[in-house]
Amino acid sequence: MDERLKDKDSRFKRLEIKIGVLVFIAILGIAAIVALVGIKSDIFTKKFVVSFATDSGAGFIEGMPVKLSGFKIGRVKTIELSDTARVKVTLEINKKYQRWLRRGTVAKVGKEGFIGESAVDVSSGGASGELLKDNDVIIFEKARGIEDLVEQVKPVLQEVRDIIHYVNDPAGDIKQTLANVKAMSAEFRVTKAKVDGVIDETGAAIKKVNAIIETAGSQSKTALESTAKIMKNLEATTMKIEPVMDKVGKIAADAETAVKRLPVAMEKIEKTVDNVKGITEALSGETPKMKDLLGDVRDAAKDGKALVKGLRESWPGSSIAPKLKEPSLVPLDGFLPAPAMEPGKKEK
Amino acid sequence: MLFYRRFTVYAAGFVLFAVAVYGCGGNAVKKSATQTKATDAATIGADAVASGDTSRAIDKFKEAVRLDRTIDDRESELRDLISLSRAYLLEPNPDMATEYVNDAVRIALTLKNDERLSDAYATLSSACYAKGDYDAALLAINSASAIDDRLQKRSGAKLNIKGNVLIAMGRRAEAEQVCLSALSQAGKDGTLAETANAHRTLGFLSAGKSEYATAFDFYSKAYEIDKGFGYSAKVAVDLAGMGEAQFSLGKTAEAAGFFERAYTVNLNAGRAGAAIENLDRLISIYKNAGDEPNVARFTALKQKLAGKEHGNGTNVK
Repeated sequence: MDERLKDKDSRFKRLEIKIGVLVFIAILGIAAIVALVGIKSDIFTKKFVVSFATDSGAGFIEGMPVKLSGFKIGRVKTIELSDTARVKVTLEINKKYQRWLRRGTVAKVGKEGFIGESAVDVSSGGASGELLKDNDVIIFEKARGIEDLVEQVKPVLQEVRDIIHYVNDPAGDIKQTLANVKAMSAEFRVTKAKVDGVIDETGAAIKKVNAIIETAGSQSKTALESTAKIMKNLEATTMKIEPVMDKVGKIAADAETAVKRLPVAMEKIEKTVDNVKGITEALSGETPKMKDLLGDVRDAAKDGKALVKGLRESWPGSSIAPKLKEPSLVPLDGFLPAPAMEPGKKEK
Repeated sequence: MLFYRRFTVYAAGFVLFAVAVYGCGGNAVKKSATQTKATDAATIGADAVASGDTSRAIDKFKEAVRLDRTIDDRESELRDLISLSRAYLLEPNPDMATEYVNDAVRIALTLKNDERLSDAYATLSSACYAKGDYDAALLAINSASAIDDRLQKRSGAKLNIKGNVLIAMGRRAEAEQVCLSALSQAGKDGTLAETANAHRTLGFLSAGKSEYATAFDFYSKAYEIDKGFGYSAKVAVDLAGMGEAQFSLGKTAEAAGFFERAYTVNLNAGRAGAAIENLDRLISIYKNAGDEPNVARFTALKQKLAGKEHGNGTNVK
């Protein structure tokens, strides 16, 4: 028999004890890992639940973080449809943060930055309020995202478009009014020409009458003078009407030009509105892509930061990287101004 | 074969042990991230105080306190509460300073951190002094001094505070002794700002004893240090003290010169009340000297300044 396999071989001495110790260490290690993973995942932490109801479960995910002042204090435990077809969201919050949550606590879906990772943000409620208890119901406030804003802008753009159509409509009030003004000014011109003709004819008739009267004698002189005065007045009135008529004509011409230009302007505005609408629709469509892109960038930045941090905190980085500056206490100032230090005050 | 089996078991044990250690480390790293944020906020706050941006400092210290509380870092919370209180004193808002420093006192007592307790008491004393509660101020600064004596860590700043509190209570003889100790301590510590503070207080006390030449000397020394630091409020007090001493020594023209400089410093720093006091002193000096044109000139300036002060607050820059 091989000498080494004999019981007296020194290597077999206390072999059972050695193996036992090793197995014990291994079991201890596994237990420690399980415990630490549990602690890290807050499995052993005492928790309490609060819930709120919302119209839609969109944007909520089970396990989504619940944050207070930017710090994770719990997670979304369950999302379920209630009997009233509303969505009941239950939050599981670490017991140690209960002291911050009081009556009046409001939950809302927040994002890191404009577009970022979603989390349920809770406020701490009123300072004098009672602390929240297990199974309490809190208020939920719907947060407004970019999609909501786009949706809100859409009807406004539609209204602008409707107004432009209304202005541009040939059968609409505005175009009809402008056409009426044009027709009226043309009629004024015809009327003026007629009035001029009547005046000329009256003048000729009066001259004839004058000649007859001159022959008839001086008795009719007074009547003639009156007739001449009427004629003068008529002439003066005509003179006054003339500039007014010119102005009316000019206005009508301007209105005509404006009416001609209006469709071009309308077309431009319509094009702009279409562009804006297109942009908002595109933006609305691209939002998820932008979100993904920004998420990737943020993840990359986070990874980089974590890498630098890891290097800083692990050997040999920790020995190379400069230590963070330890904040100092704001220095105490022995200078106390008035009333003691007012110069000129003397001891009584 | 046996060797390999033993090696395998040892290796497995070692790996498990390493994983357990790493798990512990993970938690520590998580805590460290918040700690870093709190440290950053406190550092920025301290820098903001140094640059005179008190409101930013207050915001940052509040943030630091909140983060300290999140990770139950009581020592840092204590430090940041004291800093926050001191920032409020600079604003000046003695009520808020008292509120926060009272929290600091409670934490320092719980943690049995005597050094910080002394700092908190000294800050509380300054806050009480600013509110005119001199008895409480004296009690607080005496508590701080008692701790410092026990720890053998005396501070010129705390002695200066005590000196000022004693002056406010009319106990000038005691104040002088304390201020001389403050001067000596500040010299030992090499804290120039506190040396200047001690000089200024001693100048004030000397003037009170009609020792004007000594008073002028003390104020001049304080001024030389303060102007180096650029503390405008202290510089203005130093100049006015020098002016007062010169006037008492019969040097009217020199006295007027110092008061005019004090007025300019106060005016440029936006301290209308102090600037008006300087003008009042100038007017009375020129009245005594029978210099009517200068009386008229400074009276007009005073009226203009008083009008602005009543019109749009104290900022008369």
